Amino acid sequence: MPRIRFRPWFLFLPLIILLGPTSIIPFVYAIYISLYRYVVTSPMPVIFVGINNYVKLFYDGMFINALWRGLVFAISCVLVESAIGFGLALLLWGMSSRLGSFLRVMLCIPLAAPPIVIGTMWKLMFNPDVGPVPFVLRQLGVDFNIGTSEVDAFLATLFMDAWHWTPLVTFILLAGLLAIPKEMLEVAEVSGASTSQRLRYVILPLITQQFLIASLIRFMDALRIFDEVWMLTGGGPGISTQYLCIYIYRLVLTQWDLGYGSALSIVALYIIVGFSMILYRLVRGGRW
Amino acid sequence: MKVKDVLRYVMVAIVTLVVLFPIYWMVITSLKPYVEIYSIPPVFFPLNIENNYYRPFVKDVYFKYLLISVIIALGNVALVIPSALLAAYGFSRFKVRRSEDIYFWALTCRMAPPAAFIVPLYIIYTRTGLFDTHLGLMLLYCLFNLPLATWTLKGAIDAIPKDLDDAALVDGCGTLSTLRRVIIPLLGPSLAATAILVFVFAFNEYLFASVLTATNARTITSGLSAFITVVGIEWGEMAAVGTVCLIPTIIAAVLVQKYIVAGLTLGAVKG
Repeated sequence: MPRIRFRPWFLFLPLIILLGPTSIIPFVYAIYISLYRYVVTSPMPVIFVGINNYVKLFYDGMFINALWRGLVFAISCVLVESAIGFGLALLLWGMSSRLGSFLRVMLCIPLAAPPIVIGTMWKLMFNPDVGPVPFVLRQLGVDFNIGTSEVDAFLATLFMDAWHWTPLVTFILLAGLLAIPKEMLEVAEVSGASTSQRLRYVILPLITQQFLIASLIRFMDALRIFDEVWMLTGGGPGISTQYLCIYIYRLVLTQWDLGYGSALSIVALYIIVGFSMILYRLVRGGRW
Repeated sequence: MKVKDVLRYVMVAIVTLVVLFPIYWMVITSLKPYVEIYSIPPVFFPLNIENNYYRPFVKDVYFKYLLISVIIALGNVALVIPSALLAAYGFSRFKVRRSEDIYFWALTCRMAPPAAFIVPLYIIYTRTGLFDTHLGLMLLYCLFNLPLATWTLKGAIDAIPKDLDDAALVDGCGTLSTLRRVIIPLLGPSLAATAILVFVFAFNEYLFASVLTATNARTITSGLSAFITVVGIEWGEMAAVGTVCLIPTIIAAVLVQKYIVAGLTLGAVKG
């Protein structure tokens, strides 16, 4: 039967029309603005400064601080969430169907909750005046105050992020666990491998790719975190939880330095694009 | 075996407690009078109920914000779902040149920090008149929802045998009528689930809404931060608005739990 061959380009037209302008125009425009000194509140004229805004980044202690703290935060998130997520995935893996589906529903709740509401919830939990967490800890003799202590504020953001995103790690790892052929585990068991040996030599090597995908997605999402942390600490105390996007937001909406803010945005975007290239390779490398 | 089972129940109980306690705390805070919110030790089971919902939703503008949020999210669903359906069908059934590049582009859109877009978008929106309009946000949310919907639906269409398409083709259906008469009826639940997910993520968005709207198109999420005032925080009312934001998303989460993971990972992991 002769098949009619044609290019179904019209199928992609709506996607390109909707996604193109919202992603490419702002990006190109941001590059354009980043080459100018453009401070809305300043009486000085808008002038072309070339790459000066980008050079300025290297001397900006606040930027280095935001990047550094953001990286520490993101890496901590990945480590904590991988550990707990793996434990939960193993728990779900060998569980009866009814209890298992109950746990799944529980774990889906944080994933769908609005990030800003998650920030609100943990603000209510951690606030030194009204929160139950500082109260309980005080009874135990620990002083926990996210308004004054940098470490406490960092831990609070980390805990909040783990609450929000550990389920995603769990589900990604669980998908890997469920794809392991039953025979492999049976062979290992018959050969006399102990539980820890099976975990180390059979299970872990088989879900390496899921681990990498989960870690990368979490790393990138943690790097760009804004809503929850903004609501919980506002970047404080001082600049201790002022992660990358919070710095951009503060810079743009308090100082209205749009030229420099754009340069910063472009750099943040390129960092993310770099990581998404790695993620893309990983996703494409495996079964998809 | 018995000890293992008990341990399992204990673990599930701990997870449930950790997930639900902050939500419970927010809900009871929204029902506490001012004095009990500040009381030490904290009140874990409030007996004196105060209606903190009344002022923000009836006297203030939060009911309007809620409606705006729903309108914008529905508008976004209406834009995203048809476009995503067409593109997902194309990706699933045809060899497309550069489809890899389109996937990478979409992945970058999904991962890009929203804060990186606020400067150019703010300028573009104020100059084109899209600032503080419903349409502006509906269009913008395609940035993260369109990739999500396209690759969730692609996964679902991939699962439908291609023979059915061929049969429809033999019977004289074109591409669009195959999509309409064969694929869409079979997609059923996945299509509904994807629409719900898109709605949830549009409803949840905060950063763009807070920068690009003022009063006409203010969404309820961007209104939440207004409770942090110079003189102090309105805890009870903030908790009330937070609870109202949370409830639809929790219902949605339970309905579409199988699709959340596929959506969040752009199809890289099937839930």
